[in-house]
Amino acid sequence: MKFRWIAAALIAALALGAGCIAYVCMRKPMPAVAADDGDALLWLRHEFKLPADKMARIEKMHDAYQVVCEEHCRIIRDARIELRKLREAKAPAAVIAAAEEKSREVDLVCTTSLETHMRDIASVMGGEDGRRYLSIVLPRVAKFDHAGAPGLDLESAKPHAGHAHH
Amino acid sequence: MNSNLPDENLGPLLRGSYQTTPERNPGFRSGVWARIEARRRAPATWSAWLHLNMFRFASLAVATVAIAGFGGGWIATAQANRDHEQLVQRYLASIDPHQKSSVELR
Repeated sequence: MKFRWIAAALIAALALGAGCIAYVCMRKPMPAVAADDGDALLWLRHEFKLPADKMARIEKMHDAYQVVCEEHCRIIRDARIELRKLREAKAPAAVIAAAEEKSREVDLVCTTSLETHMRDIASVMGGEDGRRYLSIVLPRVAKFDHAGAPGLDLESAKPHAGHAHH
Repeated sequence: MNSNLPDENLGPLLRGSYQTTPERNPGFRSGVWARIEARRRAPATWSAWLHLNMFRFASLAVATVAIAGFGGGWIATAQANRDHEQLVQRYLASIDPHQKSSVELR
């Protein structure tokens, strides 16, 4: 009986060792994502390892786009506040429908502008990196529910996380 | 029940009341010898025990190590995917007003 326990302990130690080795071999160290240092481009830096000149161009484009993004945020927010007010005021259906249409339009403008910006970034990256970048970001943007926009803070006009540091 | 009977009546009483007819067990003797033999053959050292149970031990060890290795790899991959997704979402949140909540609510 004693030998069985020794065998069990040995197997458990082997399993622990194998698990740890597999973990260490398979893990892909990532930059500290938990730390909110505000570096939105950390992913690009880490994932694509672009040359310094390309990264500098992308940083400039990213900063420039923040202004566009802020403007889109404001327009979308205004459109949704207006829509909510109309709904709360029980406005005529035609008026609400028009406001909904306007809201959809500004969403579409935002999405189109965002995709254009992403394609510009991809062209700076060039080649396989650019294609891979688009294959990662475009599906995520398309998948996001632009119609609902739960993230837009309708109560305040403070800039969102991505803009805060600019 | 009468408990005041004289002692000399106890013998006949028991003979009359408690009669057992034990069942024959033809395997009893061989069973005892088998147990004695098994005890005699039981390995005295760990290496002897391992030698005797090598196949079972090896099978169990291989299966356990494989499962643990798979589990460790799976955890590492899941963790890497989660970290990667967080980085992507942080980037997207910086350029897509619609995705604000997906990062801020984390």
